[in-house]
Parts: sequence; structure tokens; C-alpha cells
Amino acid sequence: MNVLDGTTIATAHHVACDVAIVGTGPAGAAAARTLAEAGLRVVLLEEGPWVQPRDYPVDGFSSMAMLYRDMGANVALGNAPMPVLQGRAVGGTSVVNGAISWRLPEDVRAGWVAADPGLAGTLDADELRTLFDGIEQDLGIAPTSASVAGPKNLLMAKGAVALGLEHRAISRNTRGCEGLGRCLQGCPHGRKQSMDLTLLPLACEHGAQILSRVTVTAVQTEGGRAVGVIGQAAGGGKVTVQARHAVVLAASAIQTPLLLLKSGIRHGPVGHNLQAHPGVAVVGQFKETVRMWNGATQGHEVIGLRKDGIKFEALGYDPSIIASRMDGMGRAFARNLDQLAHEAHWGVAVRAQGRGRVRLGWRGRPIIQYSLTPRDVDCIRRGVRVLGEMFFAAGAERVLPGVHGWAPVVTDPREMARFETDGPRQANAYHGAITHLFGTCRMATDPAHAVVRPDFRHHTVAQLYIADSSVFPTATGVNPQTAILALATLCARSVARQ
Amino acid sequence: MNGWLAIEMRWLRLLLNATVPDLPDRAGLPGVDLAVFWPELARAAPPLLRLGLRATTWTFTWLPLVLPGYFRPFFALSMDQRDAFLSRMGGTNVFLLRQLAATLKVIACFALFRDPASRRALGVVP
Repeated sequence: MNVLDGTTIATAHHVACDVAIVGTGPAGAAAARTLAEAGLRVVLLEEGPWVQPRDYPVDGFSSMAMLYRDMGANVALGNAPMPVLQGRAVGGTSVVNGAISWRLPEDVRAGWVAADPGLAGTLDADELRTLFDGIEQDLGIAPTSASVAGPKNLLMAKGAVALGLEHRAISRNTRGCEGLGRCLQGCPHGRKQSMDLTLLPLACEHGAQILSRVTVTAVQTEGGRAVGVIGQAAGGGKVTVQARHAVVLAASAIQTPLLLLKSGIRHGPVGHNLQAHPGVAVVGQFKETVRMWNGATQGHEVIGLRKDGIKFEALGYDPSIIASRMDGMGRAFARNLDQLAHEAHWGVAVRAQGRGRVRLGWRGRPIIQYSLTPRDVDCIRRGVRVLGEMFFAAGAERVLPGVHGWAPVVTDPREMARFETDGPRQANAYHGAITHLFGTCRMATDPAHAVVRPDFRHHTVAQLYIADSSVFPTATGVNPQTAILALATLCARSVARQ
Repeated sequence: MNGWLAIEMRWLRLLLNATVPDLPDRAGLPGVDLAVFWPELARAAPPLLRLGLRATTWTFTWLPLVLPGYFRPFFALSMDQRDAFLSRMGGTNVFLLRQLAATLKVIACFALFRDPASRRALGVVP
């Protein structure tokens, strides 16, 4: 790949191109590939490093320090403060996500178009279907094979069958997965088809260049047009990228509105309408060995309640994260570590109604405000109940709901059954995380309620486009990577047409 | 950690050690060398986490001094008292204190599982 490491840029560095793209995650990569293949000269800027798969650390801490934005410790502040997990590397979050791939559900697409008929032209169902077919082929998206699923995923299937819940093996963007269980630390054998291994090399084959470890600090405008970006290289040099044709922002639903605010581009509800899929994990302890750090990281899901805004996934991460969720402190906690190999963690993710906001904070850092609604907490409570019952149905001896104000260890299934009605109602009793973010530069026809037009162009700044999930009108209720890839491709086509 | 006093680092290390102490049959965090961990943490941790860790260090070191049943700073408590105090913080109804305890536990786990020997001892084979 054609990558220039910003640590080597110590003096002023100027590049001219047709299109400057900020961000190399799924949105930036898909846009870059489409535009480069269309013959445009593309330069991508990425704040994080370019790391080879063989160099991904084994342990959770080191990988989070290397590959996650703010070590995964940036927090959304609100009635239930939650960490916001985002990748920061060439390839973006695709390097460290669970490789879960969902097409944009038709009911979600139809809902967006019904709310704003002006989106119908952009979000044509047939065109999207064709795009999804291509993405699935390009990234090897297929259901997780039982041969690499490992106990944690197979147990979830067993629990779902016992409860009569609709479930399936998760479709993932992997080729030749070996079930190492290290998707969230970066696959060391490059089996996950993350952007650094797929679309970005394709873009580079067509002349694209990537500047890594360069933090974009502003979009440059002249006469109401975006003409480039300026940034700061890790080596100390100032980077200026002059874009003749367009600037495309693809830096995530947090960083994109932040960059607009830093650049003084404040039209519309920029930073508002933050939506997310908050998730919480429930733990089951089994007599048999599970070793949840082995097997496909996230290989099974329960989808029977998706239209109620609730989705369940088997989880897999480094033992440091598993351990930090265990009960107790001190010697009791140390003794509980004996159960490490016997635990499975399953998560409930909610298509939340909560709305938040991204603001510009101290030294250009984001202030993320996000609160759950009572209905969101109801969904989480229902999800925790279902997960607990599923664990018992799968043969777990103990369930650890991880909810303050409820028994830390449950051995009686009847206690989980009454959790939905009797469980805590205050949001901060639940310890969750946010992984999918949407809506902070919403796409819509009405300029008063949107940042970009239905063709991804900024409403007031010419030659400025936004390609990432910040343009999504709402949360999708499912893992958004495939939808992001599709919409970013549509954005790139719009850029190429202008 | 940049900007931390040596005594603050000693307090933090004591808190971390008490979070995952040695057991008769298995070593915990006290024997783990954190010489590489600290600079990595200092480099990667965002301001809010660094602030939270410092708040945890000061709060948990001195809060026992004013709590009935302890009336001594954390470093002067017995092993049993340290266990009891940390468990109380982990389960308190005061959200902020509970968050500080959670922060301490996460950092302790990061430090423990960054150590290859500790991973092997707990049956985690890459």
C-alpha cells in the first residue's frame, strides 16, 4: 500500500489531489476505492498508525493502547456513562471490530424514506441490494462456520433453541477464519477482511495515497467551497492537502462533526442527534470449559427480537476484559479468576431511542453527551432477562447479570425470570458500552434539520461531502459496517458525478 | 506516569496489588513488573481516564481514614480490611465511588494480563 507515515513528516508537507478523504475506516475506504477506480487522484488522511497484522499485540491493554481511540476509554457522559469504542488505525474500526456484517434492514431503509421522501432517490432498494451483493463478495462475508465457532457461540445456539428464539450464525467479513478469538485486538493472521487488507489496497492500486499518523485539524474553505484540509503530522510537520474536486469526511459520527465544528462549519444540527446501540453483557458460568477467548470472536446472534429494537450476540474478548467484569475485589476477586475459563459473555444491544450530542471540548477533544431513555432501560432489562434465561437453558450453573441493585450471582432461573419486571430501572445500574454511532451530521432534504443533502453534499459548503454513519438519519438496530460501506460508495458516486 | 508524585505511584500500586492480591496457590499482581506498563498507560490514556485514576488513588487511599470501622488510610489497613474496603467500594450505592472501583479493577486486569506469566498461570495460552 502507498502509505506515508506521518512520523517521518517533520517539516511542512504539501500534497495536491482531486479528492481528500479524512478517515480510512469503512466509509473512507469504500469512498476511496470508488473514486480511485473512477480515475480521480485520492489522498486519505488517518490519525492512527498503519500496523501489520503480525504486529498486533496479544493482550487487550496493549491492543487498545495501540489500535483504539483513547484506549477505548473515551466516555459518553449522561445518565449512564459508557465507554465509546472506536478504532484508530489505518482501516479504522474495521481493524478491531467483531467483523459482524448486516445489510441495512429493509424496514430501516423504508422508515428513513417514509420520514423523508427526498431520500428515495439515494436509497433505492434495488441499487442497495446490488451494492450489498458486491460488498459481500469483496469481503468474503459468510456465516460463521461451526468448525471455528467455539463453545461460547455454540452454547448460545443451544440456549436459543431451548427458548424457541430465532437465531443464526453471524455473517462476518472473514476469509479462512481460524477461530483465534482476536478480532477485537486485530486478527494477527489477517483473516478478518478489514479495510487495511481489502478496499484500501484496491484504492492504492488505482493511485490513492494514505497519510497515516496525521491529525486533520481543519477543513479549508474559500468562497463557500471546500478546497482542502490541513493537519498535523506525528513527526511535527504541518500537512496541507489541496483538493481540487472535493473533500470527503469519513472520520466517524464523533470525529466528523468535531472537525466541522473546529473548522467553523456550523450549519444545521451538526453534532446533534447522536444515536447509538448501547450494549450490556451478561455472564454465564458453566461447569465445562468455555475459554471464551478462543473460537470466532462473535459468531452467533439471536435476532428474534430485532424488530423490538433488541439484538443478542455472543461476545469474545481478551481475558483482561473478561476478568474486569468478574465479581468482587481483593482476594474474593482473585479467587474468582479461577472461573475465567468457564465463563461466557453474551451481550444485548439496543436500538436506543436516546439522543445525544457531540460538542467541541478542551483542546479540541470531543465532549460526548448521551443518555438512555426509560424505554431504552426497559429494553436492556428485557434483554438481560432473556440472556439470563438463555444461559440457564444452555446449561449454565450461575448467571452474573452485572447489574447494581440485583444479586451479583444468580443460581435460580426464576430469579432471572422476574428481572424484567423487578430489575433496577435507573440507567446507571447497568454497565454498558457504545460501539455504533449515528446521526450527528444527518442527511435530509430540509436544510434546517440536516447537515448534508440526500446526495451527501453539505447543505451550505460546496465540494464538501460526508460519507460515514454520521449521515444516517437514525440508528440501524444492526451492526452498521456493511451499510456504511454501501452508503459511502453512494457518496463517492455522487462526488464523481459532480 | 507523567506528572505523578512518587508517593502517588506507590499508593496506586498498593491499591492495584490489593485489587488482585497473591493467593496461597497463585501469584496476583504484587509480583508483576509494571515498568513497561506505566509509560504505555501514560501515553495512551485519555485525560478523563488519567483524572479518574488519580481521583481513585487519592480517594481510596484517604477515604478509609474517615470511615467507621477503618479510621486509617488505606496503606495502614490490614489485608482483611483492604479486602473489605475495596469490596464496599465496588458495591456502594454511590455511583461515582463505584465507578472509581471499576476503574481500579480494569487497570489492575490490564496490568495483570499484560504479563505473559500471569496469563499462563491463569490458563490463557495464546
